[in-house]
Amino acid sequence: NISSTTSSVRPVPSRRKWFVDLKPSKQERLTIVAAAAAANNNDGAVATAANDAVSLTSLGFSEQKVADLIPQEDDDRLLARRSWDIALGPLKQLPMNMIFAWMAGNSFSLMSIMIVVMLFQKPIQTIFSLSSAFASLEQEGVGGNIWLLKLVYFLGSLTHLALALYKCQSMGLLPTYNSDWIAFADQQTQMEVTAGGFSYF
Amino acid sequence: MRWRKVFETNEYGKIDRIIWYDQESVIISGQGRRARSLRYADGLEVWQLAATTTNTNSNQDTVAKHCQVIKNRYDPGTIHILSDDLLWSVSSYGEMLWSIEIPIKSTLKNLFLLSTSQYVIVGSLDSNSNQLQVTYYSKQDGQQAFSSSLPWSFNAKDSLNKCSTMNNLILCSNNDELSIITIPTTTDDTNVKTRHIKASSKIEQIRILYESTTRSVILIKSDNGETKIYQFNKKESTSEWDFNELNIQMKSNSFISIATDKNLAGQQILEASANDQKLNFHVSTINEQTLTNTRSYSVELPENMGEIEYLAYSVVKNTQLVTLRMQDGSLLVIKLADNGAELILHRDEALSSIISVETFDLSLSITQMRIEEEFGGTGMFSMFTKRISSQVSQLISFFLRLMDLFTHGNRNRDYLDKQAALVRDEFNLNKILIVVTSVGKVFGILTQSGGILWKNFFPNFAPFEHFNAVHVPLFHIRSAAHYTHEPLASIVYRDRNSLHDTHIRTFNPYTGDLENNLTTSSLPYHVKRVFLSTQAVDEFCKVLLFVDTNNKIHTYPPVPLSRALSTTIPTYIYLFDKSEQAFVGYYLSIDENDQKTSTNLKEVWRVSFQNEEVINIHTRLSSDRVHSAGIVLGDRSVLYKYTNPNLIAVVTEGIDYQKVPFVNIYLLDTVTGSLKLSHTHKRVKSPVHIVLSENWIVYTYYNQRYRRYEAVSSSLFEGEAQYNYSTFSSFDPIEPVIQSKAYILPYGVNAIQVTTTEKGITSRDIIMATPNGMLIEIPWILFDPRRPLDLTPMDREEGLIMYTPEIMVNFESVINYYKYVYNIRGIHTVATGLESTSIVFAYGLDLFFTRVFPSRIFDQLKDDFDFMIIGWSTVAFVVGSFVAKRFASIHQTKKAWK
Repeated sequence: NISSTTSSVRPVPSRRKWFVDLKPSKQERLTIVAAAAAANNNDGAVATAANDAVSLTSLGFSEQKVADLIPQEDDDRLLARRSWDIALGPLKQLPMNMIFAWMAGNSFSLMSIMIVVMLFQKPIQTIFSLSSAFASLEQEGVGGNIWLLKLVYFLGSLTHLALALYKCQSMGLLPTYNSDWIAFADQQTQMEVTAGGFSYF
Repeated sequence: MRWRKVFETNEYGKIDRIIWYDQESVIISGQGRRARSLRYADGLEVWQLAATTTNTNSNQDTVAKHCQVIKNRYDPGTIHILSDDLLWSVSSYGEMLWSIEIPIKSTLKNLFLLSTSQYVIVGSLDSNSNQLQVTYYSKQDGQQAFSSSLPWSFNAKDSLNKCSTMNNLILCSNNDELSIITIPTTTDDTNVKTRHIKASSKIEQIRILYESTTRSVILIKSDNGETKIYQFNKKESTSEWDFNELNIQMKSNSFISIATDKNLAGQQILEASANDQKLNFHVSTINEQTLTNTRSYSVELPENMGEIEYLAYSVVKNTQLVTLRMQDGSLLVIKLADNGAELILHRDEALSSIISVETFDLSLSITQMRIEEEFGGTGMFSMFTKRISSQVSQLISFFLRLMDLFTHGNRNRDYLDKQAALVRDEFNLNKILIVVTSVGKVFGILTQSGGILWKNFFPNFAPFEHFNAVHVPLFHIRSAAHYTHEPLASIVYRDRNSLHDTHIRTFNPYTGDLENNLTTSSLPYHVKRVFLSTQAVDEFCKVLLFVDTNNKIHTYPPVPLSRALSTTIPTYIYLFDKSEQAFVGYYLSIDENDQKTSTNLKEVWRVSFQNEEVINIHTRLSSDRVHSAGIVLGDRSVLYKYTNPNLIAVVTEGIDYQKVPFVNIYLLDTVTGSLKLSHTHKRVKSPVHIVLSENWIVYTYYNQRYRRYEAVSSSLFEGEAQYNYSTFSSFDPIEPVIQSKAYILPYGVNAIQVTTTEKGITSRDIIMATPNGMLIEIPWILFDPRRPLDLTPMDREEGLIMYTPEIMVNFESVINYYKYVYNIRGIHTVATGLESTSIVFAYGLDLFFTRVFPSRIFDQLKDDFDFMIIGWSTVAFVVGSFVAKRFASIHQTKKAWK
C-alpha cells in the first residue's frame, strides 16, 4: 500500500516513463520510527527483523511496477507538437539568417559571398530533404494533415529563399536593371548608308 | 646612317639654302630667318642665329615671302641673306656681322641679292615706275652706300620665276631670249650693260651649274628640249663678263652637274640620263670651248625609279661620286671608277612621304583553309563526309610532313620561312601594310619584320589635293577573308600631266602584281569623288563608284548600280565643294530591276559656310565598332549613347568682327544635313586634330591666349531611354544630349588616333604623336567628358575619375620608348584577331609599328606564364589524390578492425 499512497500523493507528470522518489513520505517515516522504537523496547531479534524490513524497502523503492500513465490522447498531442516543430523549423531559423544577412553587409567580400551562398544553399537543401524530414512522422502514422505540414515547411524554406534573393537584390546581384542586359543588346541596324567627302575638282 | 638632324615642322624647318664648307655647312631656313651650322663629323649644331626682326606681326600678313641667300664669292666665309625687307650677314663661324631693315614701301619689292668684294647689292623692283632700284650696302657694316636705278620690263612675279643672279649678273629669260644684265660693282662705274642670247624656242629654265669669281657655267633649257651650256669668263680688271657656248650634245631628259676639285685641272662636267632601269653617265673635262676626255658609264638599277630629279656630282679624294634623287624618292649614290659605275647606296626615301595606309590580313595556311572547308558544307551528310575526308587528309599531310622532316631536313628552310612569313598566325596579329607615298611609289610591308615585300612605282602619279594635304584613295576591293580568291587593293590617282585624267590601279597586296582587268587609265568622265561599293559583286570583289563633275554616279568596272549598292537601304552621298564652301547631300535611289551602270544624283540638302573656311573634314574609321549601346551609371540605370554612324566632323576657321581668329567644330549628319554639335573656340590656332569614334569626339588645337595645346572631348547621348533599340535612322527625332570637357595637354600634337579592336569591347586609348618624337597612349577615360568636378559615390561606382584640367602623361605610356619618331603625319590602327590587341602604325618622317593593349592582356596568358609549374603541379595533385585515396582506405580498414 506504500506504493499506492506514493502514487496517490504525488501525481506522476505525464511524460515520465519512470521515477524514483528519494524522499520518504510521512507515513514511511512514521513506520520506520515505530519499528525502531519497537526494536529498542523488544528483543534484538525482533529489532533486526524490523531493521531488515526497513532496509528492504529502501527509500523510493517500490516493488510494484509503475504503469505507463501517458494516455493515448496525450501521444497524439505530442506527435502533433513534434510535427509542427519540424514544419516550423525553417521559419524559426529565419530571424537568425536575417541577422546573418544583415551582418554580412552589401559589399563584396569573401564573407558576404559565403553567406549569400549559404542563404541559397540551406533552403534548397531543406526543400530537397522535405520528404526525409517527415519520414519519421509518416512512420508513426501521421497521415491526415501531413500535407499541410509539408506545405508549411516548404513555405518556410521559401521565405529563406526570398531572404536570399532580397540579399542578392540589395547587393546588386540580380539583373533587374536595363544596365544588366545592355551587353546582350544587338547593334542597331542602319537605315541609311552614306559615302562621300570633299570633291576633287 | 651616322647622324640625323630633324628640323622644325613649321616654317623655320623649311630649308632655303645650304652652303657647304669643308668641315660644316651653314643652313638657312625659315624664309631666311634662321641660320645654323651643322658639323659633318658628328651632326652637332655648332651655332644657330635668328634674324632680329621687330615687325614680326606685319610679316605674317605678307603671304608670299621671298628669300635670297648668297655666299660672298670674294669672301667665302660671309653669307648674305635677304629675307623680304631684312638684309643680314653672318660669318661661317657663327657671328652675326650686321643686320639692317630695308625701308618698306608697298610698291617696292626686294628681289635680287648680289655681292662684290666691297658691297652687298639689293635689286628692288619699283612697280610704280617699272624701274629696278639697285642699292649698294657696305659689306663690312651694312651701311647704305649709294643707289642707282635702271629700267626694268618684268613684273615682280616674272622676275622671281624667270631670273637668277650670278656674281654681278642678273640673268632673265624672256620667251626665247636670255638677257644678261651686268650690275656695276664700283661707285665710279655706273654703266649698266645688257646683252642677249637667243635660244631656239621659249626658255624654260636657267640653271647656274658653277659659279666662282672668275668663271661661271650656266645651263639654258628650252621647252623644245634643247639644252645649251654657256661658259662665262670675267674680263680682267672690269666687272664685265665674256661668254661662249660649250659644245655639248645633250639628250633632252639629261641632267648636268659640274664638279671641281683642287687636284683637277679644270671642271669636270657630268651628264646623266635615266633610261628605264638604266642610268647613263658621261663625264668630260671642260677646256676652253670644248670638252675632252669624255668617258661613259652606265649602271643597272634594281627597279624602275623614273626620271632623275636631282643630280650632284662631286670628286672626293679622287673618287667620283654621283648623288641622285630619283622621281620615286630614291636616294642613290653611285661611284664612278675605272672599272665602271657601281651603285653603293640606295635608300627608299619615299617611305617618309606616306599618304595612305591600308592593312590586309595575311592568307590562311593550307591547314587553316582545310578547317574552313571542313565546316563549310550544307546538309548533314555532306558535312559529315567533308569532316571525315578533311580529317583524313590532315592526318595524311601530317605524316607526309613528318616523313619530309626526316628525309630532307632543312633543305627548303629558306623558302619555307619566306612562305611562313606570308601565312596568317594564330591570332591574326601579323598583317601586310600597303602604303602609298606622295611620289607614286606603293610598298607592301610585312608588319612582323618591317621588311619591304614588294614595291611598285607609278611614274605618272599625282595625288588628289585634300585641303592643304594630299590624298590617294586606297581601297580593299577584295578582302583576305575569301581564301579561294586572292585579295585585291585599288588605288585611284590623277595623271601628273593632265590632272583631270584618273588612273585606277588594282593589285594583289601580297605580291604587288597588277590585276590588268581592273586597271585602267581612261575613264570617260572627270572624277569628283570615288568610294567603294557596299556590296560585293562578282567573285567577292567590290566595285568603285565614281561621282563625276556632272553629279552622275558611275561604277567601275561597269556593273548595274543595283548590284553594287543595297536596294533596301537608301544611299546618301555628300560632297564638299571648296569653291562654294558648301556641303551638298545627294540621295541615290536605285530600282531593284534597274540595269543602269550610272545614274544622276538628286540633291537633298545643302550646308554652306559663310565667313568661315572649312579647313578639314574628318570621318570615323570604317572599322569603328560600338559594342555597348549605353553607359551604366552609378545607380545602375543606362545612359544610351547616340551612335550615329553618319556623322562627320567639320573644322572651319575664320576671323570674327573683332579681328579675333576662331575655329569652329561641327558634327554634321550626312544623311539629313543637320548639325548635331557646334563648338566655337576663339583665339585658337589650327591644326585641329580630330578623333571621331563611337558616340564621342576628341579634338586638339593650340590655344593662342594661354599658349598651350588643349583637347576638347564631347560625348553625345540619347538619354535615359533609347528611341529605337533595333534600328538607327538619322531621321529619328533624337536631340542628342552633349557633354563636353576641355583638357590641357602636356605636349603638342602632330597626329591623333584611337585604337581599334575587333568587337569594340576593349576600352579605347588615344594614340597621340608629339613633336618631340613620342607616341603617347592615353586612356580615353582621361578624356571622358563626364569626369565630375566633385566625385560622388555614384560616380566612383561608375569608375569615373575626378576632373582635373591637366592630362597627366606617365612616361610608361610612351609606347615607342626612346625610339623617337619625328614629324608623324598620321597614325593607322587596325584590329587583330585578339580582342585585347590593336595594331598601331605611325607614319611621317619615321615609321613606327607596335601593338597596344588598351585594357591590358585579358584574353591571353602573360609572357611569363609558367606552363611547367602549372603542368607539374596538376600532375602532382592527381598523383597525390590517388595516393591519398589509397592511404585513406587502408586507414579505414584498420579502424574497422579495432
